[in-house]
Amino acid sequence: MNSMHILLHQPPMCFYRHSSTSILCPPTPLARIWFSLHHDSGRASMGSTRRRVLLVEDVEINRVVVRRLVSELNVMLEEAENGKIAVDFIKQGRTYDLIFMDKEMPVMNGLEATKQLRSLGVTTPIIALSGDCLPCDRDLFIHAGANAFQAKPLSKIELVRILTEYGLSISHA
Amino acid sequence: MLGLGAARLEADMNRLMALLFHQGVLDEQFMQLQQLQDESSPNFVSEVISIYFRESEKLLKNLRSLLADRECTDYRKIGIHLNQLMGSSSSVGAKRVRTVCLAFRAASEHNNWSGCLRSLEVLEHEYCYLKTKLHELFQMEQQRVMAAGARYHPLLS
Repeated sequence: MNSMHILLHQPPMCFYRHSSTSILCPPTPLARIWFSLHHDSGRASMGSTRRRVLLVEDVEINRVVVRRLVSELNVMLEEAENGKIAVDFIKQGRTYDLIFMDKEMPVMNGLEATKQLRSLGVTTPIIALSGDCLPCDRDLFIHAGANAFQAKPLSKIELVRILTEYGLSISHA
Repeated sequence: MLGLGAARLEADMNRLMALLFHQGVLDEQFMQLQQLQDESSPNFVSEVISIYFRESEKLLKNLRSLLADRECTDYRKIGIHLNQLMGSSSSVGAKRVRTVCLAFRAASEHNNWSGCLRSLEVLEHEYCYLKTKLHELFQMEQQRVMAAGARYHPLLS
């Protein structure tokens, strides 16, 4: 748990050192972070089978359900309650293999967060989530840089499909 | 083997669930929650529903406050609260609550105060009905577990 890990930032390629026990952002009231207690937490995807997924979602229940959905999969889930926290995570050097981005959120919505992440050079696949699934919303998100648009609530089958589609190992934990 | 009491309770629970699905109060997302409940998370459904009740009541209270003064209604905030309530309702399978939220949101987008007020009343009624029925369901489950004398019984699994 106290070993140092090296993270690969995607792109530009640069190396950051983080202690697996340190919290990478100030403990703000809005930033609740879910870390796996696995000893590989924080390790880059190279050499590790545990993929890192960021869920950006303001509604607690939705986070609880997704947390439960991924608990049986070989995925480490982090959570951000709004788009600004997600952007701050990236600016702090965190990297992810996949990002689920809710549409409507306070402080910064998913559309704006997606634009900002892309402008920061983040190429991590971003899956937009929305309860409405209007074609205009889908188009806006794709134009902003999202890779796909998915209806909420997310089922286990859809989650596994998305993780598989984007190359995340889904072998059971 | 379940005792007669436990078996009868299970049958009552199944009837209640069937009724709630038939009435459109719940949808298949509620079944998804049940499928996520197992021995590693034996109380998952009731825990999620408790969070849902807690958050929904806060949102309903906020919506009521926002509509208290017709001249100063903040329709943007109403929309934000409704989106949250819609999202959480979808996640627990509260179909009718979600449907009413949609109508409510349409009224708020048109700055229709009286439409919003009517929708809020319907929403509060639907939420109350859902809460009552889910409490009945969880009570029956508790009684069924006690009657069966087992430590763990998944809800309707």
